[in-house]
Amino acid sequence: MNRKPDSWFGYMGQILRIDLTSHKYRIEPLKKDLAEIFVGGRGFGIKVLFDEVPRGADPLSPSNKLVFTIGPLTATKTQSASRWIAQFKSPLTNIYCRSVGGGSFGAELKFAGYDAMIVEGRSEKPVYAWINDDKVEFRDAEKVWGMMTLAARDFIREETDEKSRMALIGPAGERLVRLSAIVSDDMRTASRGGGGAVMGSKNLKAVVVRGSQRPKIYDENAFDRAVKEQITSYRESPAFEGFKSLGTNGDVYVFYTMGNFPTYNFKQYPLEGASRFSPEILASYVVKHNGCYGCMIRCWKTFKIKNGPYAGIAWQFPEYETHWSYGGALGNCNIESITYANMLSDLYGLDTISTGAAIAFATELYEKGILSESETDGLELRWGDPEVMVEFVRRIALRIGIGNLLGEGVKRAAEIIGRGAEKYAMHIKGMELPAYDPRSVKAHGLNFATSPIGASHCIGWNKFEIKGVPRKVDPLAVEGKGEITRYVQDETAAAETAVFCTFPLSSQMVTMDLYSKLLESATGIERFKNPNYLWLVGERIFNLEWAFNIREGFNANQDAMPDRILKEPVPREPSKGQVFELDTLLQDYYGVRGWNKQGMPTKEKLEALGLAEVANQLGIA
Amino acid sequence: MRVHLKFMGKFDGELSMEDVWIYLQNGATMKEVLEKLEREKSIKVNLQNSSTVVLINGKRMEFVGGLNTTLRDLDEIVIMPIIGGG
Repeated sequence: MNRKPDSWFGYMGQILRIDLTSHKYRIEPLKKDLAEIFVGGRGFGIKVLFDEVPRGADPLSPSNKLVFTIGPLTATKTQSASRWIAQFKSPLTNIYCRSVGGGSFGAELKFAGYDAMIVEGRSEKPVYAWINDDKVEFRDAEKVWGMMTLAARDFIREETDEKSRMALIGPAGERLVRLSAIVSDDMRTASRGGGGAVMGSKNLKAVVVRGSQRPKIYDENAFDRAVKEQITSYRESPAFEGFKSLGTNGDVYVFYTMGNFPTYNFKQYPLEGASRFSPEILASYVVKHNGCYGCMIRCWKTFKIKNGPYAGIAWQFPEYETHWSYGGALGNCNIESITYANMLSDLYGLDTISTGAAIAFATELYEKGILSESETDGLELRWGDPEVMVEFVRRIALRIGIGNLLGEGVKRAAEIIGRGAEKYAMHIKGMELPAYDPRSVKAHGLNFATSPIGASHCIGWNKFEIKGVPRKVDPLAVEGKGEITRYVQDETAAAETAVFCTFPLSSQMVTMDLYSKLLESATGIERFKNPNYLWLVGERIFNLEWAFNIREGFNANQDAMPDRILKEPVPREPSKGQVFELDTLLQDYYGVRGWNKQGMPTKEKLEALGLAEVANQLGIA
Repeated sequence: MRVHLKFMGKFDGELSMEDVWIYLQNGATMKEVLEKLEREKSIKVNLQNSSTVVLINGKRMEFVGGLNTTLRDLDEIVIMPIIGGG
């Protein structure tokens, strides 16, 4: 049974479907079942992809779909719940992908009256979609095609509305670089998995939104109480002050000392000059604090670089991950160059994690003599050389010379190069590893191996091991890691129905109990009152994401880990001598998940999650 | 002897940091430093809070002897929170 949009609370009650092939759109009513079973955000996205993207679809063809989702708490008074998700079949991994972005785009999409937006087909010529409440236009993007994100944003705003919000691509996405990102008007990115290339393949420069509506709240008093509880929880948390003062940059040096922060393409040699990443040095670059819509944490910081060869920049700072990818991964401790490369990545529309990882891969190949100067456009790749790093970012974004190869991602690049290059390609399922060494944090590593999108740190950030909450667990132990991996993965999947940011979750500032109170009072949906139901939804989403991959032909053999992580002991403290015990960890995990020894969900498990039809479709007996 | 304590990552609005010198008898341990810090400066470091990391000359306290680590003149001790996220 469908409800009219105005009878919804929390939700806007509508999904916008945009067909780029025909330049037509449809506003579809939100189905009650979809809301109750998948809640919103990430749940809606995987449901749409599973139902609508055919097996074997080429991710860069019109048959792939791109779903932008937000949640029932987006653009309400709830803190940190206005992030947006891009979900699609990834051109980097050829499997499911979900990539999360921040800023104000998500809230604006909700103000325009939608809970999700499905983008399908392919436009013959470059366009952008201009969504002004219930009016949708397909505008010629010839003029802005080829522009960096910031310039394109300003041109598009002039042509539409100065206050419009948007998700757009830069030259990297237009060139179908598999490491390309989707960038918001406020330069926040949904960067993993090559979403930029999916937009590029559809000839879609931007989705531009302006809205005048507001979500209604079911029980204002109960909702206000829950929001108050959330704000109190933030104010009482020691993590809140830390996040507020220096965002993820407070962790760079400490994570290096904990052995999380990998160095030199995961060789993990001690990093000369690592103390350059200490908080007081990073803090000295901060000139401004800012944040996502509806979030009091305000974890964005603007860095100003006033001296040296990168002088003149005032740009959003490199996050923890980027200090690693353009820094530690390359043996580079020059903060100014990292900030510069970060700015270039936002402008070109690149994933900083995968781009830095690809440069680290090439640097090691050069060091080992697998790549010679004749193949690197005459550039000499050395560890700790900021100038070469910056030059490679440009070459990858624009597919110039060796950049054309590296922009395919390290897995494909290694296959093309041959000569044993695969040994130095640090990826899982085709997605480059982020800034955590699985040998130093084993449940977190297990999360990389079992994540449905490849090596993502955000899909199950292991707070047990890294922060010691809700309970302290030895990061180097092997036993019991299946359970805590499942815990954070399911919790994250549930929280990303809101769409909550992972930061308050990782610090226990938001718990599932609090989420349930917020959700039930905002939407009036009875079953959301039970936190256990939300845990079940998280598990349902995670299993459905895996089902998508299984349909694509994936199995447990691809829950692999690079050889270096399995065989080369870490050479530095505190995890000196450690390797990653993949098989033991995986079997424990599959058992906890109720999957079989081959890493496949069983029929019983899928039925228990309300996914019996999925089991049938996959032929799981 | 004296040791230098730095509290990183715990900034106020101006992004400044606390910076403290503690004077001790030769051969004092990390435990004595923390006791004296609480007694003299009213700064209590809660090690039960697993989000707190202590570095002695750049190495994590747990790997160099924990609270029983013997300190030397001019040792540098850094105390900082793990923020989390990524």
